Amino acid sequence: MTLLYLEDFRPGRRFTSGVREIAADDIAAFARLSGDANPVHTDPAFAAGHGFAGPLAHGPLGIAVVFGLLHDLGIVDGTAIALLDLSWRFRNPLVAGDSVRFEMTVTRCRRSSRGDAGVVNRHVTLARTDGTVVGEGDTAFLVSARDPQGPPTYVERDFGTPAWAGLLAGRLADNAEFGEGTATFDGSIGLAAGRESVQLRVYKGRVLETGRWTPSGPTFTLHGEELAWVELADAPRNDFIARSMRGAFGVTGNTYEHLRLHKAIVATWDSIRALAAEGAA
Amino acid sequence: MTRVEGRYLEIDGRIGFVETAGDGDPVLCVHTAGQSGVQWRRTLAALPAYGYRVIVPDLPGHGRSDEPAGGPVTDLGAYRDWLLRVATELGADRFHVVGCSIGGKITLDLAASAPDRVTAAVAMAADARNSRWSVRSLERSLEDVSSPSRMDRTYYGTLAAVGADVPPARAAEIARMHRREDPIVSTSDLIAWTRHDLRDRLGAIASPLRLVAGADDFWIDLSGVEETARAIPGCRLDVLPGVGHYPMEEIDDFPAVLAGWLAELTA
Repeated sequence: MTLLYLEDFRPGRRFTSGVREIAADDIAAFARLSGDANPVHTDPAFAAGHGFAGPLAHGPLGIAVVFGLLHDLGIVDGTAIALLDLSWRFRNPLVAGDSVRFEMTVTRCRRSSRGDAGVVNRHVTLARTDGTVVGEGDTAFLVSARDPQGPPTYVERDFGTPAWAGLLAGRLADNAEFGEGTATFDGSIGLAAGRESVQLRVYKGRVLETGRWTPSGPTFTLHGEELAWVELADAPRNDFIARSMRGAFGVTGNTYEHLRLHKAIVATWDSIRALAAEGAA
Repeated sequence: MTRVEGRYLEIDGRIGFVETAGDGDPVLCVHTAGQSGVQWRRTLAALPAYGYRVIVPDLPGHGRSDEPAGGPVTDLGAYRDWLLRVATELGADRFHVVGCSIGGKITLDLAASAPDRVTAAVAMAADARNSRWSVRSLERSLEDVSSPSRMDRTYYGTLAAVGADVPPARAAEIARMHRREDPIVSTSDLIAWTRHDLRDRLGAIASPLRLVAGADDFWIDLSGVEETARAIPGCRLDVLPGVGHYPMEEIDDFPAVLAGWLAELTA
């Protein structure tokens, strides 16, 4: 694969790694390297006594393998500047003999103020080749830009930010269903994607302003992980309600007003998706 | 055109409305929460051509049937008993039964409770138990004042609950039809659905039975449906891609599909 720069990490883009088998030697080596010689990792009989088919791989070994598989893809050696953060949930055990691969989805891509690099957020799922998820999490890294003078990256997909909300407000001005659904509403709708959140100040069918804060705060806030946002933005249809019922999105604040604005929220997602499609090229 | 006969039965001094069409083995069709026999209108029109007598009741409190003396029903067992009496009134001592959602669970219950009367069963969007819903939160939403935009939620909720293969115009028609509900009755039905646990009674099922689930159906937990299928000897489970919670309304040639299922079950 060719080397990728900041501009290549459009939110929603996916990467699938090759397959790597976790050998008993790998687990033994990781125990020496980390100093974690817990018998569940080093003693087959002990591991068997705890119901595992073999010595259990250390959790961080799986994470380390993600970065090894990323190196193998050959897409960021030379453009990746620094790993910035990592949050991980361990879902299922990994034992010697298991083969794994990752799927990585870009969830945010933002050029730094200096312009020569930017932050790329990624959701990573590490799974066995039979599909069982071993672990998943979010991790950001700093990546070199191809063109240091380039424009901001993918604002149409920078969900939950003021710049994005400004574009969304323009779309909502032409969205008749949003206007009808908020015709009797006076308040603010909060939209939160991961750690980014923004508010739409709405009065009788119109968005008056957008921003990080409003004098009275949000009436209610719709929140979801960054992955949930990019997935619905790129889904074949606007199935926001089905995804909410499955837990991908939640609401805090005034639930009465949230329920009352059902139609407006579905309509807002129509505009979010249309805007994101503009940033798909 | 199919000739459809409407009947006003008197059950416990109350009107029970039933439509029938065709001649042959009786097929009892049970609708979903808050809806009515209108969900089966295409089945009622087309299934008789396959040699069946199609029986489509409106459950008590739905469509043209009187509401029950005790108000909205919160026990699926009451619907089960009422349906057995409807079948008796119509001279259908033995019958096939097909149902969807609460109707699917009632189908399971009929097969377990009346194994001498049910000859074949197709339970769609159904499992023996619902772990996904909370009776307490449903009871809260019985207070309509705390449930603003109830019609919008039914409309958009139905749009989301149909499968990805349903063309948008058909999906919107289904959603508009579902908006005809009385939300108190629908919510009571869901309470009945959530409370009803058939897990200990599946062993009593004697008739051939098929479970059908839409792959896009978020109302049901597929693992619960699979567990139910495993607990019923010889039960076949079909997971239909592109289909959601309402197969009889979503699938264009549903009557032909149903006729195929019934033929297989009774072969």
